[in-house]
Amino acid sequence: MANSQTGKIDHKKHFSIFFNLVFLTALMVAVNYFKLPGYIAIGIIIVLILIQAYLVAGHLMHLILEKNNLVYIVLILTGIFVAGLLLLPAFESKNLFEGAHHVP
Amino acid sequence: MDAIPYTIETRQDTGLYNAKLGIWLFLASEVMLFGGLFSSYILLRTGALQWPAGSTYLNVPIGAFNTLMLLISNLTVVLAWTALRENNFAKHKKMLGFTILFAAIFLGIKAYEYTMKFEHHHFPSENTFLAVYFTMTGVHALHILGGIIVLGYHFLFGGKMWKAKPQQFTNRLEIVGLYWHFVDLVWVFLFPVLYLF
Repeated sequence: MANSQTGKIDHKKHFSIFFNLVFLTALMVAVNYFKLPGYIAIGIIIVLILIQAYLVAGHLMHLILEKNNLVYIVLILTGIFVAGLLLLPAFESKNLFEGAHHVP
Repeated sequence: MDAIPYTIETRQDTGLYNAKLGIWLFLASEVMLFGGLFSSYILLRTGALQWPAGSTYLNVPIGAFNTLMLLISNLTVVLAWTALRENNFAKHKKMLGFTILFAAIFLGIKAYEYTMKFEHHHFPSENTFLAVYFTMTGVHALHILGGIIVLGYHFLFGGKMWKAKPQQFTNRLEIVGLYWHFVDLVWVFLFPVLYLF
């Protein structure tokens, strides 16, 4: 959603983003359907996820138009903590702490 | 002056109206919540000797259809908000109604998926994949339910506020929309991670 002060409403853009999101979802399902080799499929799907996330957060949530620095500060701080959270398993799998634990 | 200040005008120190700062702080906490769940997923998956493909347990076409429902509801919630900015309350109400409808369809399909799993005796205790699946989609479904309640409140009682304080109501819808987009954003990650990987 745009800032209330951001002026003209662009319906075409909203529909275009929607169709792009649908198309990207269809691409993901197609990649899964054609059973590409593991890492290639995961790599392609991750790229598609990131594009979708950019479209939703950047355009539908209008982060790319946000002029307020406080919003970015909140999000950057959160991003740092989330990156830390997501990196913890990477450390774990490399035996940096107590070694990998296998779960059933 | 209103009992609650800065519902329309921006504060000088933050540059935002209060609800907008509030929703971004709330969404930041939500990012941490789901970040923790995704982190657990990665930890469990990298630590597992075997991990089933999502399609072993889950129906990809149903998941994809559900994704479409959520994407449509995201479009309609934007249209509901832009209708307010165009002073078109009737269109707003129609779009908000569609948003609730598609969100309810999403939840209905999710309930159907859960029921099918239980009928086939697939419970969270069966293995780590199913435990992760039920936890993550369950938390997400609760967010959808919460969103439906808020959207429903505005659908039923929004008219009065629109007449009395149109700008404040428009801002409220912006906040609701930001939350709804976030819920969609989480599903953008959940669907491929659980169904396609």
